[in-house]
Amino acid sequence: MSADLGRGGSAPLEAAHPATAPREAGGLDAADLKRSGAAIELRGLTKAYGTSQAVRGVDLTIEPGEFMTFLGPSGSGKTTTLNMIAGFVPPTSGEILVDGRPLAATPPHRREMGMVFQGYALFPHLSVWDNIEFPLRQRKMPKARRRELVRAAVRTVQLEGFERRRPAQLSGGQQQRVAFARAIVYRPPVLLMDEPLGALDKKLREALQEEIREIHRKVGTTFLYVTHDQEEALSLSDRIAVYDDGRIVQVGTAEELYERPRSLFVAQFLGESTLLRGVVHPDDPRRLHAGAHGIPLSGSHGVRGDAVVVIRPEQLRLTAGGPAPGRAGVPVTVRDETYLGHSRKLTVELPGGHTGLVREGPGTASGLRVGDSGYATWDPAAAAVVPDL
Amino acid sequence: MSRRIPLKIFGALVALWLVAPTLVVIPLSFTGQRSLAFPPERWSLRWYEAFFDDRRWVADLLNSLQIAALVGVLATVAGTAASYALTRGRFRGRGVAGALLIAPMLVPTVVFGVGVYALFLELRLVGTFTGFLVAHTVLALPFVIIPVSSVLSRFDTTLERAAAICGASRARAFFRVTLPVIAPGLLSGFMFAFVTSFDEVVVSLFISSPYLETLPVRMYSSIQRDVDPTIAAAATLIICFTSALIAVALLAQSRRRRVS
Repeated sequence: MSADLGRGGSAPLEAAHPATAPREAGGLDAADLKRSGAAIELRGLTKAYGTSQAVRGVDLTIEPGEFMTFLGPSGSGKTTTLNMIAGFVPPTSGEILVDGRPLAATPPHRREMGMVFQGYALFPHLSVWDNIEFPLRQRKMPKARRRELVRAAVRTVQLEGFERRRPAQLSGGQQQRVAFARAIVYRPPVLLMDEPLGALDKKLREALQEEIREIHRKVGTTFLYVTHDQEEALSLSDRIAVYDDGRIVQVGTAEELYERPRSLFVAQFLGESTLLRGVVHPDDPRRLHAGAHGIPLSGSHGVRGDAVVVIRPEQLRLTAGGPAPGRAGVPVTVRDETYLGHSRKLTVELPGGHTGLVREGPGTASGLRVGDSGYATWDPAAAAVVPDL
Repeated sequence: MSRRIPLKIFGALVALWLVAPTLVVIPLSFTGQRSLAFPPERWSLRWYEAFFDDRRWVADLLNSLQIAALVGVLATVAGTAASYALTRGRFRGRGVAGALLIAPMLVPTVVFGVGVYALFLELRLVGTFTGFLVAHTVLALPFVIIPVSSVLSRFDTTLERAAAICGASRARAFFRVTLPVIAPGLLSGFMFAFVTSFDEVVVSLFISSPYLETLPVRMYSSIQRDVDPTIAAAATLIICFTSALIAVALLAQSRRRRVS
């Protein structure tokens, strides 16, 4: 136990004004909060409601201490998966293992997990302090220990001075912090979060994302985070599982998913891109036939038949002349231009009337303006090839 | 602002129309005469004296209070359990069960009274304390189920999930989270149940005996026999009592609202 916590535990509980309360650095409680997270394994997890299947056979291994995000549109099964892990929804078939032990027979209150709910689900009749203490009381911890842990959690989420308030007297962001503190106070090996920032405005979301990352770094708990917001997923997670229609369609780091999407769905759900549709002949995997154009591909994709080349905006370069050797290119006309400060975003018209997106940084400015014609070129190795739907 | 004055006057008139018949009883109870003539010509407290001097009046008042308090508790506990099942349960016959539980409010009280009398004769419950408790609790149940079901259906069930993931069993989650949150509904349910029993006269007439009767039964039979202003004193006591009960509940609720 750290010296800081010992002092905190013996000090009388005072409700200091937030402006005057000393903000102690989180460094000292970090050591005490640190406890290794649990490994989670999902095997063939399925949930059917009548004839409709919400989750259709999910297999996933989550490493101890990992920050895993379930990303997908609403109704894609990510929240149902989370609720099955929490024990609120019984799986139709399949298994959930935590550190190798199956959870099927364990009711939610014995699963030793923390959870942050979409609407926070704070107990309205209890003060901030009592809300955070609630899980400790259920565990029949001695009073001194409870006080110590609540203090540490309150400090972690920087809510000193608000202990006596009721949830209704707090702002949305503060309520979110209380929900977070309540979920981590007993140091569960697994923390589940269901769109915890969904109800907050953009600026607050970004600030709290930083804090969530910081807390994850400090506590070492396995985080399972559900969101439909791709930017949130990209900035928070160690790995992301992308959900579509009850299935996980791809799992990987943010970079892997962004740079190497394996399906059109993943490519379009994460970030912006230019899409070129065509056909890959079985005997010529290094070329996409798109109308009169032959577009060179890097040969490592394994896609045959109807295919789409996915190129991210920052991979495209505009030039007045044709593509340099080794680069692929298509003729384009600049249709629109948006100045973004650090970069320019150009909308270009591709052959066949489709639109493409080009992002030009300070070092890659082409000088092409709206109405100009030229070429959009890219390195075939930096473009992903996915099957067309 | 000035345009709202006619509205306020209209509101005041409606309020007066609603309570005037009840309020007439209060001056009557302070009359110095031996009749219920309104307005009284002389004033005195003699009918309150008469009320408290007569052991039968006092005994019946105490009977009524005891029965009403117990009915309030029984109906609140049973009604809350029933409401929980009706709002959360997914079982066959839920609609029928709900309709049956509300039925005592809709069935004409005389019909209910005759039925209860016939049944209680068989079960030897006529004129017993238990008989009053059972009959009044059945009558009071709908008045608990309606407000409690309404707060339960508005209750956010993720709070129970949150309690569960925090380590609370279903029972603990109910008592530590659900119950405190729906408490205002329970309080109004208890009050309605109490008042339903406290001023119940029709069914009570059927099941009372010379050995056990309630205050409303005595009032009814006393006005049949002689026009004695003691009844006005008794009525005034009932009005004061129920008004105080409602005032306390309203105060408790407004304080709660200010806190949260």
